[in-house]
Amino acid sequence: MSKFDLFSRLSASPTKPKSTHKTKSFDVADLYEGPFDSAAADNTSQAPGLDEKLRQAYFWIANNAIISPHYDIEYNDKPPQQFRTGDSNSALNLPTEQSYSSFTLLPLLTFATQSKCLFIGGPGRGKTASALLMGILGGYTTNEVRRAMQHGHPQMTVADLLGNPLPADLASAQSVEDIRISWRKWLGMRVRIIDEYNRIPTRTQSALLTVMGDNYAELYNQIYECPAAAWYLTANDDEGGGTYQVIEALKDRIDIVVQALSFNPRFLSQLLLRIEEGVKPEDLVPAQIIFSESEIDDMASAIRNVDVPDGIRRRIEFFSSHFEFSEYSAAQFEYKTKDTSRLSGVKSHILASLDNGRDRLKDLGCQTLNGISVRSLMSLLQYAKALAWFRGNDSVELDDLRQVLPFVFHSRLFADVNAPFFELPENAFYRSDKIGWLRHLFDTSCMEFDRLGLDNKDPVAELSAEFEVGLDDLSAKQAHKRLHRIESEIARMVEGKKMYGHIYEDIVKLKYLHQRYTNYLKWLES
Amino acid sequence: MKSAALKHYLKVERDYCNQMVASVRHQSQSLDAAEFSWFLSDCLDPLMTALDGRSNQETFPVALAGFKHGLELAALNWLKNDAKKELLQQLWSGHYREIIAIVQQEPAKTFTQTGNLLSHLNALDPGYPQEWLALMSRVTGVLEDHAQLTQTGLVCAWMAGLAHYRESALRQLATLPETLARKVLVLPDARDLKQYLGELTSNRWLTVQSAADDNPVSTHRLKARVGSCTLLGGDLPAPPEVFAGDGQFFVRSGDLAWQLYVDAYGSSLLPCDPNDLKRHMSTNDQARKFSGLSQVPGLQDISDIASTARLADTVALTSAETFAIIVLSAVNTQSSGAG
Repeated sequence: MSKFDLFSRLSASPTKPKSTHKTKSFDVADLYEGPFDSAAADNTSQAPGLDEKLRQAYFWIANNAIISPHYDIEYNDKPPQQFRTGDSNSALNLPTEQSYSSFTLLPLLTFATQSKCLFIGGPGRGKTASALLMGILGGYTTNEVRRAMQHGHPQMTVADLLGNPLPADLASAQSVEDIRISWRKWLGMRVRIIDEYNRIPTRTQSALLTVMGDNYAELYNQIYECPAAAWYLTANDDEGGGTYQVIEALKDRIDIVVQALSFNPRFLSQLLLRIEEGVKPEDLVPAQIIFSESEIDDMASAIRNVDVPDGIRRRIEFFSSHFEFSEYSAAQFEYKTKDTSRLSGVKSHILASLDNGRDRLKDLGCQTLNGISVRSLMSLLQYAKALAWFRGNDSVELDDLRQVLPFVFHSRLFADVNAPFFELPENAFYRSDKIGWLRHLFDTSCMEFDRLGLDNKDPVAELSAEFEVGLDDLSAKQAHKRLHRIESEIARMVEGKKMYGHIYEDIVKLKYLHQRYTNYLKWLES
Repeated sequence: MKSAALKHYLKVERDYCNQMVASVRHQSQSLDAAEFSWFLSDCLDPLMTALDGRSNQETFPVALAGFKHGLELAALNWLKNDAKKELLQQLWSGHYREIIAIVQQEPAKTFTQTGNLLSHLNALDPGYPQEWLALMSRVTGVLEDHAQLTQTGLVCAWMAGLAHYRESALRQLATLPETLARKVLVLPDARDLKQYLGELTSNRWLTVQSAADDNPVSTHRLKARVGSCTLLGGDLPAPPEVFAGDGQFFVRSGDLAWQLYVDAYGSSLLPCDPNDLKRHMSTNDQARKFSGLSQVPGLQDISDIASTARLADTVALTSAETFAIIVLSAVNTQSSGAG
């Protein structure tokens, strides 16, 4: 007997009404539409847009499937009501705009962008269940998703993960190329789930890295090209507490990390109902929120088209410029990075002791052990676009960026807990609260950006924009003039000032421009 | 339970029905088993008695659709309110029984569409659903199919008070069979239907009753006071202003805007985009050009006019002394009890 789906249907009303009072055009048919099931009536209305469909999926999951009443992605259109709580005086905000639970929203954005998401948190918090739902949204049955889910364990071999050579071929093949492989079915799916990935042995992790990073699998010289897919990995512990240490390259392939928060006991009645009625949310997913392959592709394409305004892009640039610079890591300017000292095994506290005069509390770069990778910046842009699109916008807003940034950098930007910032009593909880710390880091960076007035006057951006116009028809005189401006700007930046990450990155950019003009002049004069 | 047909259905489909209830209970914890039982015994059962003795093929679809609709009513808290329960009783044991042949054609559609229509009417005024049922009772004997039911339902919704459906209702009236249209309008055989529909289209204050009255009055007459302050449960956060444009009244109150629909059968305020309003703001007779205020009966409490807007047959006024929009007829209408 098929499941009764009366309440598996979705609301016809928009899930994200615009704040303007723009009303939809008057339609007589509306008289017969309303709270009661319209499925029986002629459904001549247009299918919702993909963003609306994704929002419907979000609200269905949030209201029916995953009990996660933690609205930690907050939006406000006016100052929210705020309460100060406990001895720590922590803020509790009551958002004034539609806000979201990261545990439900970010996996959905991963699905929409076909990216890679890691669920972390203790056992029994819904990590696997959430991943399972994403598989069902991708059009697979519950059984298909369950069977395709890879469960990490210490004995997992590459063959367990990817497939096996056909026994008959192994016996009869004259060359390696003749051995056919029975590839695992999950490799061809648009949603891939690896449960407890930190229990996979290191060698098998390397095979996984190839599939995750390059989207193909290789066995016995045979190649299997995998389609683009959304990846969901789960781990009980992100700090090396699994059976095997996760290789760093694999960690860096993960676009976003979502923490499963604790169960709120006030929702126990919902668990009780599920037990009493033998209902599993994954069996009730409404057909209207299942995405076809072409819809997934269209969604990813629509997200790519979301605009990142220059002002927002500049703030990302400014934020990421704080962290790589390490003044005493090298003598040569270009090598003054944390990566240089990391590669040579020099401890950060040794370099910190060499710092004299720099305000280590003010310098955001002092709070981290490393810089930001290119992949993480790409993930940040992708998720900021996805969140803006999910909210029905054509361009990214600063709040979108602020909300996704901590989850993207969660396992990529590591705090130096010995930094003076963490010594302050009011910052003590940032040692364990990575999300809060990263958001604080971004807020501080934005305040610094505003203090420097970079929205209004940014000489490096002006020089870059001038260069971007191109060198065609640029006279030697003009090129000399620009070289002179670059040199003056560098002189202004280094004169009597302490070196900070953002100044360092600007100087590197100016040196690059200087070199390009120098080469151009050489060519003109030859 | 009196209906043998319903009893038989519940016996045969017991597992499925139990599963439906369990499933809805999972989704909506507000579902009360006692309330749902009331629906089965006081609403669905009386309807199903009209089908007793018929084959399962005829009775099962109606029972299933009714059962599902009842679950929705229970889950959406329609069975917690006495006034709504009374309305449902009238609907199921009266209206649906009278149109049982149409219910059988499209049971699910009939229940859900009628339920939605009543929900809209109830949201605007709790008295409108009763008015609608009374109007529909005029025609239940002549309705032939589901299409006629929906067309007539729309016309009756307009006549019950949804003034914004005026144009659509007039179009539906023109396409309905003449007998049916006459019954809805209570138009005497002596009157020409086409001519009357023409007059109705050109004069928003005309009704059959007012047309029969031959006491011509040429002054403005107070027809309605529409809207109230948000503090009193209304929509208007500030004293409103009225504007006219494209044959339509617009209302502004604070940052919000509405379209005002009004005629002899009722009035509606529908939210609109404030930007649409800007185009018409210059047409506002802000200079308090309406001079006949003191001659209009029923406006003794108004001494000052804040804004005025006119259409061919209607004047809308606002005053700092009230949050309501005052609507006056402005043509040579007949005095009438309607409107």
